[in-house]
Amino acid sequence: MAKLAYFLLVALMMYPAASLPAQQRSLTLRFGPGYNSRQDLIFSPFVHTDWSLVNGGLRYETQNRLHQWVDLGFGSYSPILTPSYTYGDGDQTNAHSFLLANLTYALGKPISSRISARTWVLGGFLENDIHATTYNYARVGNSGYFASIGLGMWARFSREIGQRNSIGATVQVPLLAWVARSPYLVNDDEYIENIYSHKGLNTFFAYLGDGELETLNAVRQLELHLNFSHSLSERWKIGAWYEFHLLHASKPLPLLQLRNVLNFSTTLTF
Amino acid sequence: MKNQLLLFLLILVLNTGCNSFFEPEPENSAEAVFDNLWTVFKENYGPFEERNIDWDALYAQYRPQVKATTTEASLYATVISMLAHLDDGHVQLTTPNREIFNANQILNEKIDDGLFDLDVIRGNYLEPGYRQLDDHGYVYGKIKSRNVGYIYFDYVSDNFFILDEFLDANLSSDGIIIDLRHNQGGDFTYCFSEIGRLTDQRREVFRSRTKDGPGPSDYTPWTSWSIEPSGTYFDKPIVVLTDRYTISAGERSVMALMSLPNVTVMGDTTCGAHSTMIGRELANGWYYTIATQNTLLPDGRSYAGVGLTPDGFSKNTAEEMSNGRDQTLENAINRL
Repeated sequence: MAKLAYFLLVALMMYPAASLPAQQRSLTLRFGPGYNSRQDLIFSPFVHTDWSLVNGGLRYETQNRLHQWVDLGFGSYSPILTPSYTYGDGDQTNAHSFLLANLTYALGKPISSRISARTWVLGGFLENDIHATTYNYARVGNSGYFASIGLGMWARFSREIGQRNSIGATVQVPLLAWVARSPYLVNDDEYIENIYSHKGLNTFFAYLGDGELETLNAVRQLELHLNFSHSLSERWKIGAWYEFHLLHASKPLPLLQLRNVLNFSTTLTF
Repeated sequence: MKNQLLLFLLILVLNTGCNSFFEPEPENSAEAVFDNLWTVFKENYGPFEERNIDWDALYAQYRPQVKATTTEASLYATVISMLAHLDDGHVQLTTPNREIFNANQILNEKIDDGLFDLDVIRGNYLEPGYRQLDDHGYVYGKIKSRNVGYIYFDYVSDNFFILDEFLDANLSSDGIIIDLRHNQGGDFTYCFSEIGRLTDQRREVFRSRTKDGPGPSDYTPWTSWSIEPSGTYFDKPIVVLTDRYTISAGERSVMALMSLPNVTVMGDTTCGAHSTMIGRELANGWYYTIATQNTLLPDGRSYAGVGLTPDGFSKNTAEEMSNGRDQTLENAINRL
């Protein structure tokens, strides 16, 4: 049942973006380095930091009377607390692994401005945020997860600079989310029951099913995007894209993650 | 330009300000490392009571040995001396350029490790044509000159998927031997999901609960684990072999098999590490593991720290092994 509901939700996110008539459609691909700081007290008392080139995303956007976009983002980090060393029979300690994925649908209405070169858009969004972590403690590895399906508000400011350039800033704040997270001590009996099927998708939805509806008192997220684009032609643009992500969850133990990402983007307008 | 500067400052403030919200991290000093490890055990180790351990008393005994000037080697010696009191195979310490320390004395010192040898079994007891996984996750075949099937599991994971095929190959046998000696454990749910053919009814195997808070009484509710009938029932006599190295999910698999009326357990008592295990790290780069659960068998008793005793005790000798004889296996064969 949870599986069906989830896939319906994703489909509902995709349909409006594809179906509404649009004055302008664009597809943006972005990729570049990021810096992540994460402290998850379920797994470790330490702040794990790492630079990574593996960050990026794909955004499909339409603009007409309403602005809407679907964005798929990802990041991959491999922090280690101290330099890797040899132990036992020549084995080597390994870094932890954090895989972050994000799927967002947003719908907003432009607020008219007397200065046509500047646009404000306000709206709401639905966001899926999935973190798959592996904490490696020499021979033992513990898998962890954080998943949230949230509803929130977003606002964007964009401004044309001359004929070919534009800048924009977007802020997103989820207000309500269904949040599922690893248990207090990594794996309890409920967790083991969830993995009993030994099938990835079934296990994922079992985790999701154990979540709770949370508001800002338990989970706080903030995303800030800054972008610059330069038109190469009527259809093609290149640009730069900066993201700041903040995630703070308090149940069952504190989790705080800060992520700064600088991507380079290319956009096709059609 | 002014707007750009404001944006830059906003980003700087967000990052700097938010950094201050991280929880304080344990420091990297001998005293802080010792205190961090002791405290994590105090708050999260499940079987103190089952193992009759006074953890506060051990702090009083060992903490005075750790000072600001304590060297890495000295700290290591103190920590393993303290952990050794637990005698728990699920408590391990990994440090640079050393063997992994295991708090269970038998595992740590590899006592009687040579009294089980898969090469002896393959070479002297199995008919040619036996099957095995590349990593020896399982080895199965027919006992020479006997209508008895034999299967060995090195750990508990998807290697248990072979059990169905093994049972099909022994439908007309006199019985089977499931060898869990030196089984390293893993994920017991693989065993539980694959031995459905060995039971004709639902059988409770054990109950467990997990620490879910720092207080001594902070546990989740008890969860009952059972095996369910599934597939074509296999009712031949079964002998399960165990030894002191049968640990963790290996022991939970033995618990499941012990619940069957047609099973006889032979060999030596198991390790007694029945909890689940998680990993942790210390500020100096050391890694350790900790057991977080209590476990009870259907008789309402815990055997953590004690182990599962066999129905028939049998222990090989070094001389027998050097002569290529596995007496425990022979006893099992003779029983069928």
